[in-house]
Amino acid sequence: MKLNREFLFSLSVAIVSFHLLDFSSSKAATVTPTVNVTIGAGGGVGPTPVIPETTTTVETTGDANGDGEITTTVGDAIAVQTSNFRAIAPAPQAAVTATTQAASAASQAATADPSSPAAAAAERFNEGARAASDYFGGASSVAVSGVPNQTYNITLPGETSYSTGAEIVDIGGFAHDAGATPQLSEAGSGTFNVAADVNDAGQFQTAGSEAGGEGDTVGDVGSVEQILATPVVTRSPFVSIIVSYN
Amino acid sequence: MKKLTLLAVPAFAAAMAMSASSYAASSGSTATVTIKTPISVAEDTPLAFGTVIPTVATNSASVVLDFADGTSGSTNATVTGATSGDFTVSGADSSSFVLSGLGTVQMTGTGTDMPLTLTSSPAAGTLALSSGTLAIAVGGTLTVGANQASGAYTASYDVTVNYN
Repeated sequence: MKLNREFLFSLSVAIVSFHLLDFSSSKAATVTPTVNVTIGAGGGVGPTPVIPETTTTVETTGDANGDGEITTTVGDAIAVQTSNFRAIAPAPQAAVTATTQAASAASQAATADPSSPAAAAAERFNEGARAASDYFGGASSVAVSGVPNQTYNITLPGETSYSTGAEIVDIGGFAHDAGATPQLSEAGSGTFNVAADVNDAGQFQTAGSEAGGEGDTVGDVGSVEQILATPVVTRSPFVSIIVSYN
Repeated sequence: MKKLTLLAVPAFAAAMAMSASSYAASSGSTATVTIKTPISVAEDTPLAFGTVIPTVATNSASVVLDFADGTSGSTNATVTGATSGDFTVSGADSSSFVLSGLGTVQMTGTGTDMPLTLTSSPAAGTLALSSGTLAIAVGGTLTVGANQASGAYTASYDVTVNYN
């Protein structure tokens, strides 16, 4: 019997693909450095270091030496140099109303007859109105001086009133425009404005009758002259504004 | 009687061309391999807290060292000569890796141990190399105890980088 020898080989070749990594040294790395510090002698051994005091040039609390003035090691006391409280705005409303009415009356009279005495009176009124405005200025200005760059406080008066003889005028609501933290300049100077509300408690009496149109008499326009002759506010009383270092 | 001998050969040990195509098969194949640059980390500038002088001996102090040689939050202490640590990580471009280690270590020396909590910029975690490198800065917070004894203190810490 013939025996067939057959050798069977099966072979497969696979595609081999792989990544070569040296797991022992290339996938991770570590360094172990050291960190040092030296604790100085002030850390518990020896005397505590002395921190030098901060020098100051301004007394921080009012009149420390009791001489009636707030002084500084540098020198100048803070002081109000100038103020013009004689004019406090706004003008009493009654005066404003009266002058407005009078101006209207004078204008009407002048329009009706430019050559009439009313026209001449109107011209005088206009001059008087400009003069009257001098009595009613804008906000009062205040100039102060003291230590350069020093901050200071402003204390304004409360409500006050005075009599003009014709009426009582209330003044209140004082306010300044120096901001929350006023500060003197590098030259040691500063300015700020003060304004207030003026309330006319009385009734302004208009002299003469209502004027207007043709036939007005000098007497009617003369009421304007009477207003100008008797201003509601000639001048306001002085008020106190206090400035102090803080 | 003749014996039939079968020769057993491991299948992967040899390749043999067979005249009868039905008993064997073969195909061309390709073997590929990619060699990746090993990752490494090197210290360029040592981390140092310099000289710390507590202002009030009986109080504790803390010193925060940022990533640019600056100290802050130095309550109750003056610090001179502090430097942030600088490291360079190198490896295969654009590869991502994990930065670990750091943490809190104890500085030991002439007195009581002082804890040092280390931080890094970028923060520890998964990062990526750019042009094959990445700079790492190390800072931290050192807590100095009350009545800390003067002298030198030191600690070791790890900075580990690992491809992921």
